[in-house]
Amino acid sequence: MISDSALAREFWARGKSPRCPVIDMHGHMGAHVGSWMPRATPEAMLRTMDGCGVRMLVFCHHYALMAPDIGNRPNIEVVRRYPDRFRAYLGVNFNWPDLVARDLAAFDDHQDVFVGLKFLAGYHCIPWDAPVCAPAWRLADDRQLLVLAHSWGGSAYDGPQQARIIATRYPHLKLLLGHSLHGDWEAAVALAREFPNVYLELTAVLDDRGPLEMFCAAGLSKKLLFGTDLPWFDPHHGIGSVLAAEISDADRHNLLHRNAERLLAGVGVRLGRQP
Amino acid sequence: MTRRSPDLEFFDCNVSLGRPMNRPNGSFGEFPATADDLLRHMDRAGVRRALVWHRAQRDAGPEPGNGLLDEALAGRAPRLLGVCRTLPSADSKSRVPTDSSGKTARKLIDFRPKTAEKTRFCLEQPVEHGQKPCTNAKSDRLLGSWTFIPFQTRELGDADAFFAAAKKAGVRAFRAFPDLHRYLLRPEVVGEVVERLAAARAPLILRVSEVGWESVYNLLAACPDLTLILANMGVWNNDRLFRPLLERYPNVCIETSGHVTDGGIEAFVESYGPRRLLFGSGFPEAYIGSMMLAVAHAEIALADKRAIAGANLERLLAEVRL
Repeated sequence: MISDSALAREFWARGKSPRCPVIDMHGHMGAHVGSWMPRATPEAMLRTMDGCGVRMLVFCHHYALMAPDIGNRPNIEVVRRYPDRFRAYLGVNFNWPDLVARDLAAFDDHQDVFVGLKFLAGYHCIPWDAPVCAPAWRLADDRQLLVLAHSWGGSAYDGPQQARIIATRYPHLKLLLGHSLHGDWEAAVALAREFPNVYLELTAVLDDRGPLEMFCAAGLSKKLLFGTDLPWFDPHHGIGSVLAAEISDADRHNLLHRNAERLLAGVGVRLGRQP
Repeated sequence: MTRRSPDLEFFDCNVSLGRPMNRPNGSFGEFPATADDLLRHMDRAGVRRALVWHRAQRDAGPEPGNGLLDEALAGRAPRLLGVCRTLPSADSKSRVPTDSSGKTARKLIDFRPKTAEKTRFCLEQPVEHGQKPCTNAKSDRLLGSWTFIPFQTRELGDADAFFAAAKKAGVRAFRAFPDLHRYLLRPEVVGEVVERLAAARAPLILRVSEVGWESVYNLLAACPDLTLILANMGVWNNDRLFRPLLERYPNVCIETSGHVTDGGIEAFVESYGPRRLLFGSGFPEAYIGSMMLAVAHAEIALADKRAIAGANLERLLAEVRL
């Protein structure tokens, strides 16, 4: 069912695959002001992850991005409670540079928690190349961190031109383009091909039939990362899209777990047990 | 509850045929132009049946679109001849036009302007109430849904003839595209049509992301008994928008391609039961398999999965009395 691949048959039968333990590289947590999410607690999310065969989720709590007075505290608490299943991105909101400076200064105290940074420039309305962001990019570059950056085609804050600037200026960090410059798929392909440190993350990409095949046909399956915005979107919806797409099972393994395993190993994450 | 894949028969309520006017950015796969193309995709996914609309219904209008849909599904039902032009006579709406030889007219689609002439849909055979559409293997799997525009402009001719033709063609569900077709979903405009649909229990399917929630609310306020399927709601969670409608109007249903929130299926079933949630893929814009996997492994009873996968749509269509 879904398609004629062996992996599809396995997921169809069991809802997950022991030989394909999914790593979700784009998650959140907690309530969101504009969207009801019935499974937003860490425990509810773990239940979903278990059912879908998601081995690990790398996330940034909504409050770390949208409630400066709460900040990154929930990220730290949850990862330390469930270290085998969660890692976090440090949320950075440059509308409050003093808070960002404080968090960056404490970054090394939380190496067990954070694998990198999370930018949400389109919401915070500050472009990636603004001077106020430079200290964060430099820290990520110095430590070769992962930076999950929400990106959208046509955006002046986090669109293709910004991605080119950052990828050029900071070649040692790994720039994970969240949503793959949504809608500007050609630019996403061009950037991922040109820059070794640019990766395409697939949250909301999988809603549409076609971009995933385009990326794989461009030879980029080793630069793709699975993501769901969990607790926004049902991982089975995204996995179902991957299984339905006209790509190979080798491509599916790359984007569902192998690429993420490689990146996480690069920042010192040892993966725990499979769900 | 079960975590193992159940034996589900999927009946997709949201599939289109044909090429859109504008190819969506980044689309890679083919747009199925024929019923065989579509069936090939459905076979690959494991979907048994689909309720189908044609892209031309939206992008070019009901006249060519409904005709192209029926052509694509030809052999499924008494053949829709398309829009036949008739002279404006007082009794024209009760007659099936014939050609010069006296045989039933077989003009398939007429794209020419129809300035001073009335137009209306007609069929190969006169309408007979209770007559079942002829079927073949393809017809068992693909059911067409027609679209309409306001009848005040007479572009579709007479409403009675239109719905008789729809019935004759085996059509049991309808779609409306008020944004692109430039009209309002208000009682002054479509009141009689939606009352007719409600009386017949014929579902109306709307692409909510195009129509807008305000229009949906207005429509239901005017016609609270309408069987309305809310499709293509957009992937941000819509519970705050559709739940008030579900709680007020008993015949409102939602379709799964716009209900992808984690835990959303379970939450819906817990609040409202499974009967008003319908599997729909949104193919070919979206993958058929995406929500199939979610439905198959949702933490709900097997009977509820079967209802959502296809039985609910079967029930709705079986209740239609055009």
